[in-house]
Amino acid sequence: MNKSKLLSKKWTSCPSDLSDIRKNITDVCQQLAYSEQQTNTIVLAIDEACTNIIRYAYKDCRDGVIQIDVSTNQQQVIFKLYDFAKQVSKDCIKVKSSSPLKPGGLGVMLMQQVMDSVEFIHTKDCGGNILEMKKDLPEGD
Amino acid sequence: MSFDCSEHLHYKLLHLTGEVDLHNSSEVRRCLLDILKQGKSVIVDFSDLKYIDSSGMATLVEGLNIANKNNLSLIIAGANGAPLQVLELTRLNQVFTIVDSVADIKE
Repeated sequence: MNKSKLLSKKWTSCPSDLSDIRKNITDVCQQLAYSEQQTNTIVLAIDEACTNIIRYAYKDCRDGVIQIDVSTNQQQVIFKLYDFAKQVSKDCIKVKSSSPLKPGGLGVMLMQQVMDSVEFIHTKDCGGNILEMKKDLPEGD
Repeated sequence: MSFDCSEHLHYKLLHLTGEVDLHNSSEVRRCLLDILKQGKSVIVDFSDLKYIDSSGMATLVEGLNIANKNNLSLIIAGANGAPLQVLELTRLNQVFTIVDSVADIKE
């Protein structure tokens, strides 16, 4: 299956970088002809994932690295988010509460609602975590 | 992101502009909680808000819980675009009182 790489870029784990991450993901979504509404939700899901990396992997330390790779196969766009912090529990991508009024898990809920799959991968060699999220490509004309 | 606070009827009006995310949601939280500590009901005006993430929404949920405990109101006005989608995706549109614009609030 043909794979096409659309983005491979690194940012710091400083929250001020989130705005530029959103801009880059918006550009990718527009390139793939997602609607404005779909683009908004995909950008939100990636932003939420990065926020979780900053808060829970890097524990708000600002000099970590977040790498985002975006590629497509024939059916889906694949977002891979790498951090190089200590490995965190896979429970981090479980929704904690079904009530939106209770704290915790809102970002994870958004990621799971927007994406077609969300998978947490532990790397065996160099530590760190990979979050892989897939979304079906928009239907063609 | 910027915000300003004014009055509308007996409400404090918190007008948000730009993008609220992890970088700045603590500033919104401080302002919102200050208003509620003063015993004032609050309208959060989303009409010029382009983006809000879950940290921003969590701030509003915290504010709503405090408002409810103290018989105050927290109303969201003018939500549109991406912020409205966030409210719908999180089902918080079923929890908050939401109006189309600040002008719709008469009392």
